[in-house]
Amino acid sequence: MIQILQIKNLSKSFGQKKIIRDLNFTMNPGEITAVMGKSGAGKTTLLKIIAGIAKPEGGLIYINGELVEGPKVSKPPYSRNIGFVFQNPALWPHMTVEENIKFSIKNKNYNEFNELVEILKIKDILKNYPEEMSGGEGKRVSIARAIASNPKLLIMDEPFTNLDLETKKDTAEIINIIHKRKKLSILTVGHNYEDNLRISKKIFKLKDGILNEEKY
Amino acid sequence: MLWSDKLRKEIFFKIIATAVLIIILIPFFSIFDLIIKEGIAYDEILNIRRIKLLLKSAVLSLSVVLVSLFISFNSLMYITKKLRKYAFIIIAFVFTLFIISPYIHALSWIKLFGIGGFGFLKTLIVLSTYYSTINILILSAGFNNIDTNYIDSARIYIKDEGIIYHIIFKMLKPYWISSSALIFILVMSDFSIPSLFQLKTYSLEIFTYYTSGTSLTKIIYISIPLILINTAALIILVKYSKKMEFKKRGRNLLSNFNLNFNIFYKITTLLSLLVIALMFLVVSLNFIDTSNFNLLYETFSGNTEEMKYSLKAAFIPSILSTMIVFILEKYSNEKLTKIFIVIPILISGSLLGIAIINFFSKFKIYSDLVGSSTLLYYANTFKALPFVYFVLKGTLETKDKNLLNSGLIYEKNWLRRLIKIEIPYYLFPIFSGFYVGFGYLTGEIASSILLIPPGEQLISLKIYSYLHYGSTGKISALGLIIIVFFSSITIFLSLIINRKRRFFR
Repeated sequence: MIQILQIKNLSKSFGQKKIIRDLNFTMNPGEITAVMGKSGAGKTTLLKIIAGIAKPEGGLIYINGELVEGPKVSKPPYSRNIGFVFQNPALWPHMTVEENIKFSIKNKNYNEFNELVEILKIKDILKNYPEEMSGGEGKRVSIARAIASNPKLLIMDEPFTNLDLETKKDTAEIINIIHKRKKLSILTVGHNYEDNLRISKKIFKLKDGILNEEKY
Repeated sequence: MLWSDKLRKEIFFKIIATAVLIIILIPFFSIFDLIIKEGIAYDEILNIRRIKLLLKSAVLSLSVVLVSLFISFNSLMYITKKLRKYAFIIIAFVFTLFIISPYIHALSWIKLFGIGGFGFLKTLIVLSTYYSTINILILSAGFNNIDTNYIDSARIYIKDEGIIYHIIFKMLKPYWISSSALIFILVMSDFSIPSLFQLKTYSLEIFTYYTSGTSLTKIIYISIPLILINTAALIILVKYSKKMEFKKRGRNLLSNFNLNFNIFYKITTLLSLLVIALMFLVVSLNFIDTSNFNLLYETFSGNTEEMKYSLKAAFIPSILSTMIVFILEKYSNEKLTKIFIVIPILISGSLLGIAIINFFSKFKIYSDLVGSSTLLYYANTFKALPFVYFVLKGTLETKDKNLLNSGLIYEKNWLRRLIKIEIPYYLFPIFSGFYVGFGYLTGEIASSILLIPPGEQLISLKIYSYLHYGSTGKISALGLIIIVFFSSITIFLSLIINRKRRFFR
């Protein structure tokens, strides 16, 4: 079986501080895996390296069996076939919700757009601009934009941050529905154990630059 | 107590704010007063020859807008990507180039190309390179407001070159449209550079009519089409300047521009930067001309009175306009302020001078006013208002109002609060507004030429007159003195701000 994500000996430092040291990690297709860690542990950096937004100092990254990051290879983010939900939704303020989502759809193939809008309950706000939305709506639109491109791997950076309990439950339900329908592989990070448990049964802890699976 | 401290203060400043708004409108009362008395002369307004001239001026202004936008956007991308370490100093230099007047730029280009022939092209080059400075300053504020998260999220879906157009350029729309509208208005109203290169434009036509003794009413009729076209641009400017704010959470584009350029962008950004570098080089031609230190010394010592007067004529009005903008911004209706305070850009400098003369000539004290500097100070205060407003407003908006509100809890006396909290907190925006107004006024000639009292002389007018009739050595020396004066102040301030960035944020 081809693993959806494989990381070998990954390392990254900021100045003298080693954020990630010889990190090894694998993830099977169709899994939801969560990474936990304290603030500043390097969770977001790890996701950005996987996405190709940040550069590692060393190591190999394979997505769906294809080498995307290595000593002589560095595929740009748009060639990695991933979706990314940022901690702050990062929805482009000059575009409406609809434009934001359609921007990520390749080849203007909008067949699944309506289904996506229904699942994420964002039909009523399609013409709104990001500044006209609540935090929960912003998060849902951000998820919609990330999966509209039909990625192999969905990466989510703290999807429950700044949400109230009710909205957290709704968001978790939506993520679980999408996971089941689209058979998506999802890698998520967060610092709250309970939040991670809402969507994932497989939780890793990032500490001192190394990932260890948590037993609960 | 009914007349509480706060209420008294509010009423006091509201009265001042209203009075100031009325004073701002005086030149307009004056213009409409003449029209009402004489009736509308449609044949003067709808003159075919002049409409053609207006279109020619509009084409020139649009060309300047497009060329300067191309140069500034591309060079700013190059600066933030390749020269990030020096970006702060480069932008400080660009600011100095903006502060020194367009005719010093013109002087430098004249040395390269000569003064005769190709008037349109030469005017286009001088004004485009000069106004690229405004674009760079405004666009760099935009870069500073774009969170890198917006760029990172786009990198997941499209190539870096696509991001430049779809995300950066489109997100910066309020910035470049506002700066373009501002540049359009300024070029439409400027007669100094076209007159140097013998290019007939609408503003120059108005000025020529005035100097040839044409009646004030006729000049005002001729100005109406210019005012109308400037009003259209001003509406665009006001509409888009409202949108110049994004929610910034993390690092911005100015400090983290990580996009990769393809060969097309590599060439265009480098070429644009070279144009800016050429501008530095050309402006510094002044230095070569003034290698004769005796000339420099003679020019300096022979113009001390003019220098003192120029500083005074710029300093007092820029202080006044900064105070006016600050009071209006804090104590007046926001929409009213926005509409009235940008009005001064609408009318060209020469029309402003004419309107002021027309208004005050109705009063007995007019002869005393003409003999004093009052009318010049009034016009300069009026002209500086929009520039001070844009800078002050832009920097005030980045301030956290909660910090000021927290002062209300601990200090009851409004004066102590003003001195201890508000003024130190607003010091940087206030000073920036003042400095831009001051710099702009030191180069102003359009209304000064009409309102300067007999027996006085301004450096700007002296340079302008030398450019037409005098020696280039003296112009270079005067230009150099101005460049050194403003460069040293700007660099000194930039270094302080850079060292104490946290304080000034």
